[in-house]
Amino acid sequence: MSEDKQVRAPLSLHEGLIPEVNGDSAIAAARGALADARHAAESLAAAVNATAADPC
Amino acid sequence: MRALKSAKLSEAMSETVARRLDSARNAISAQTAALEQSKDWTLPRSATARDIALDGEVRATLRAMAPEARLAALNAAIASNDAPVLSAAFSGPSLLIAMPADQRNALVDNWRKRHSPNWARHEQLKSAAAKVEQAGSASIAWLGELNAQTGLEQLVTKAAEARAKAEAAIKAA
Repeated sequence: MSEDKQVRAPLSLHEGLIPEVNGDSAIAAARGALADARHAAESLAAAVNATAADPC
Repeated sequence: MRALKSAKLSEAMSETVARRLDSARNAISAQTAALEQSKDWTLPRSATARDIALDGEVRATLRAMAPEARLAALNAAIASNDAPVLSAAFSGPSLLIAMPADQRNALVDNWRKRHSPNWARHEQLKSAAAKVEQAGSASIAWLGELNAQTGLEQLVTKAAEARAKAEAAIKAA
């Protein structure tokens, strides 16, 4: 798979989009949720890219 | 089999995103609701019979004003945190002061921005809620696109069917 056709995780799944606020549990939960979603999307993207490069 | 691994990861991602984003959404809603019930968020309200009667007079005065003068009077009341005027203007339907509801809501926001110590936190929570919603929609769209491109959904179905067949064969043996 060429570099430009690689699958990538959506940019809106990034905890950095929500500024950290010390001691705020709701903000921490939102950041954590975005971080987990990003990790899941990155793992999936890596697996899909690996499959495309070598289907076996 | 790599394709199957992708299919399983796709399923796992769907679940993770739904569960974690739902939980974040609930945490934000709970904090926002608690904040909106706090004393600092609540607008001034007349409590005594005398003040409530005064509210009526203030509203009648505001109603009689030209729109520009009314807006100027309310902005001045917000600037000086003039409780009797704010209580009269912000309680009851906006019709009572001859002002469209959206304009009055904007004035209420101005008052909170200026006088509520919770305004900044409320804005942070509102922004975080919007980011969480955005992430949810983007994930669904991304997974849908990926499934359409790679046929991952079909792979999940086929794998489930194969698993069911294998289990049935084991039971039958």
